[in-house]
Amino acid sequence: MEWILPLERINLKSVSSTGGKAARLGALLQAGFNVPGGFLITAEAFQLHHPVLLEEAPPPPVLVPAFRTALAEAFTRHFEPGEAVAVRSSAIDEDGAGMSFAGQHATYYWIGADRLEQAVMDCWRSLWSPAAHAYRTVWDQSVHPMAVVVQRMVRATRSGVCFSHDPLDPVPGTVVIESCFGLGAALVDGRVQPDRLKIDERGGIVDLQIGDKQVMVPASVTDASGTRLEPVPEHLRTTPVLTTREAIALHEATEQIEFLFDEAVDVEWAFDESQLHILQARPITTIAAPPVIDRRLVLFKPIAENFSEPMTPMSVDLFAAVLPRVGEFVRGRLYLDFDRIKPLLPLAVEDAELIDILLLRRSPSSLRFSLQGLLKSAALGAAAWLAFGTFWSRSARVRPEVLEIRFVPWLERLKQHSSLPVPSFFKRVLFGASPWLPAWQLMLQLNVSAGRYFLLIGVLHQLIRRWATDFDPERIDDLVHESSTMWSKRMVADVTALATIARSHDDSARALRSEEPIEQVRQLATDHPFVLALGQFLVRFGHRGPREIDLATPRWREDVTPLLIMVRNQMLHGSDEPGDRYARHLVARDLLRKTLRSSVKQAVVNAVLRRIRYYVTLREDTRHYHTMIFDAVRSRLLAVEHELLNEDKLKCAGDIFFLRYSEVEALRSGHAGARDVSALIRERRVAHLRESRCLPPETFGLRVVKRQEDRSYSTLRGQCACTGEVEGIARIVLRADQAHALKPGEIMVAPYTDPSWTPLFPPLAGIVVGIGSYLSHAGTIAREYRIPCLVDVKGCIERIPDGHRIRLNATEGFVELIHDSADMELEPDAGGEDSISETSPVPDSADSIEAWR
Amino acid sequence: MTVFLTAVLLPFASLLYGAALALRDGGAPVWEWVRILVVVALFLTLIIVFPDAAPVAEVVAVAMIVLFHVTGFYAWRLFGTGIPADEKGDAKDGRR
Repeated sequence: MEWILPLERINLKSVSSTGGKAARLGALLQAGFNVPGGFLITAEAFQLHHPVLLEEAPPPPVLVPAFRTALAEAFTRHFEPGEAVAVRSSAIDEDGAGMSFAGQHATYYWIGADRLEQAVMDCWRSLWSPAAHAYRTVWDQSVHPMAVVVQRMVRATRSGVCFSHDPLDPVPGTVVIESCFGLGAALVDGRVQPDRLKIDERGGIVDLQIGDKQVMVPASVTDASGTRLEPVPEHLRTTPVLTTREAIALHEATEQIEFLFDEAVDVEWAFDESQLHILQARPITTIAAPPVIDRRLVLFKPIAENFSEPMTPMSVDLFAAVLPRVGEFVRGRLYLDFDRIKPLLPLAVEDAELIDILLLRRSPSSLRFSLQGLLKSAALGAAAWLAFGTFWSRSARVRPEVLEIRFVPWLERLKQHSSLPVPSFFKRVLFGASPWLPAWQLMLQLNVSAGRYFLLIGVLHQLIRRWATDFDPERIDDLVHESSTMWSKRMVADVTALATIARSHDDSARALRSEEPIEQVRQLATDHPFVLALGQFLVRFGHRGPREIDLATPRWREDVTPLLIMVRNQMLHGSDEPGDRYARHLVARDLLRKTLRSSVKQAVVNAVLRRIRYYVTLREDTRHYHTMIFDAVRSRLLAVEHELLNEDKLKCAGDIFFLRYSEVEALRSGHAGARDVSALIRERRVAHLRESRCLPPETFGLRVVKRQEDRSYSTLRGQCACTGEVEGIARIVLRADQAHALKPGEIMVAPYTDPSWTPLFPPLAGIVVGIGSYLSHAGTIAREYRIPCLVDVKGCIERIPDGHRIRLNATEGFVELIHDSADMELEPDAGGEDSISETSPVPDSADSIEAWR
Repeated sequence: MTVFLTAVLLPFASLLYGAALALRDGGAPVWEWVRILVVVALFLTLIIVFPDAAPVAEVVAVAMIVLFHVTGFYAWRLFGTGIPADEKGDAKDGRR
């Protein structure tokens, strides 16, 4: 009976006593891969100390003296004195083809000789952790013995996972590499958004998504039990982790490992300063299947167009409790129940058309009402008018200044004094508790009812078409000029003012130009004009931020980096010309007056324009106040999280957003402990990251008819949100805080936008957005600044190369790639209109991932 | 006649009630007073012209609008969003 074996002596035949992980590590070592050396404590050693295996955890064993001696000798033989090792589980049923047990058993890093025995016993004990127990229960497994791998620590500067097949795509042939800085623990726990590379079977990079790597587990960590996460230096956060050469080397190694084991594998790897180390290889156990949905669902666009990532479980939990029952969340995205919505609409349309309407792809003027449907819904309409007509008319009378004067102090008082649990607080501030409440306390209803400007714009188009036939329809958008007090306009003005102040002082300009603007701005004196102005800005807009609908996202007040980057962009490239836009508005108004002639017609059109202006302003302003509500709810959740972190019931900041509120309550009341939720949090974080990389399906159980025009590879179709035609350089911007390269006069191509993107808009020549509608934020702000804007352009991020020249026609609704450069030429895509061509330029040089990006 | 008048007066009752709440909400312009005065004048005129039917019709119309407003709110809360009717909150207007 052997208790300890060198890793070199292990192979796949010994899996019954070494476990899958160790057997594969041994096989890799024998095949010549660079695997950190070490030894294995076999399952026999485990059985020596646990002769009877039960589901219940046994008391900690007393180590047999002979085993202790053998362990100490093995450590001395394999490692230098004082060297630190990794102690890793290798249970007999772990890392098999059916079950991975990934993350269910323990791993300990940076263990010295003095802590080795305890680490081995802790590893054994993790066999009975609640997470492992739950995993076994799901898979109907009993407890199996556990071997333990003791390996040399790699001082990993970069690490990650490499899948020999894309787990999200059952079609073989594409290797996926996920990478982060430091040790890979942050990645496998789902705490960092990694870079994601796809390499095809010919070795070409076909996709690269640079993650915002905010945290890392540093290679120099010495205390595994302490707080291991550190912030990634700001200038590295969006820098690619791997060079092309390293990525290709990893791709080759993964293919060789797949060949060695004759099955699809996921490989954990790490680079120290120069060398690639293989830390683990196991079969890929899951190929993601689409969720089974037995209903017909359509994506709810108004949220998706502002926020294409999925919501975190806490946000879903809280929103699901307050949103109407005509929809449901699927994998973090809100969908409408098609079969519940359909009978409510008096429209004479086929299912395909109704899908287009629900996806906000049709303007109201193109809708056809059915007489039968109208009669059927007349009673419903009358009841709706009786029930909601009062609020409808009240919302037509709310003055924006009243919202500011009354809502903000009211919310502040409620934040400080309410003892309601978070979900009840959320419902209270979003929906009110009584029909007698003032309209400004019913912010969600105000926002919804302000959407009627969409109908009024339809009316305006009809009136101008009939009464002013000579008026250029392209100038209609110029007629709508929003209030200058609208919050989004004020925000742009304030960012511009910040940039002006920064520019006028050498030290602040230098600080913003540096690679670490936050650190440099912190060095400025507290009474520096820029610091004072920044403080005032945060008082007004500190509750705003990127992806602000999701409660898990830090606001500008908490993380000022995205804001400083916007200010820097404005300082370097800003060229706002509000005067020109207002002049266009005046010219359009004058032309219309001359064309209409009749004073009665002018009065009617002006009245419609005033109402449009009012409702557009109300809708944008209520969005500003919504975010205050989300911020208040987030603050309350953070307070609860702080309490749970202090009690060691949660491990890491942000974990609370990956729990449901009932689970948080169970933690607070002591009905659940840290061990009960840690595996759950890890699993949900990983699932959330996986979902974040995919655009949400527009429908479930329904077939969307593809537009014929999409078939041309060099032309992409979309919806016109602000008319106009422009030609220029396309600049891909994935997130508002990543807009470093955006220059005035360029055409921004973005997956989505939300209000925090507003300051980026003024200097742009055009905007192309992957998702959205006429009503979306991008459309509203683009019309305000009179920037040609096309929304709902499928595949724009994938198919428009960054830096390529494009022609944007937002009047007829398409964007066209201009083929004036041989090296950027694209071939027609034979695989279907939505697939990504492999012919995107792929770099050859070692450091050209950034350039390819 | 009373039923007919009630149906005709419903939109005016809604206007009256909406304007009154808008005034209570704060920040409403003088227009709201004008609306209220016009509707009140209309109601008084109808009482003079139809002394038998108008008083009842006017009261019923206003009562219906208020009733539907209240029941509509709670119906929406309960069936639309699933918030229990008794979950009202602990701090109306933020004051304890």
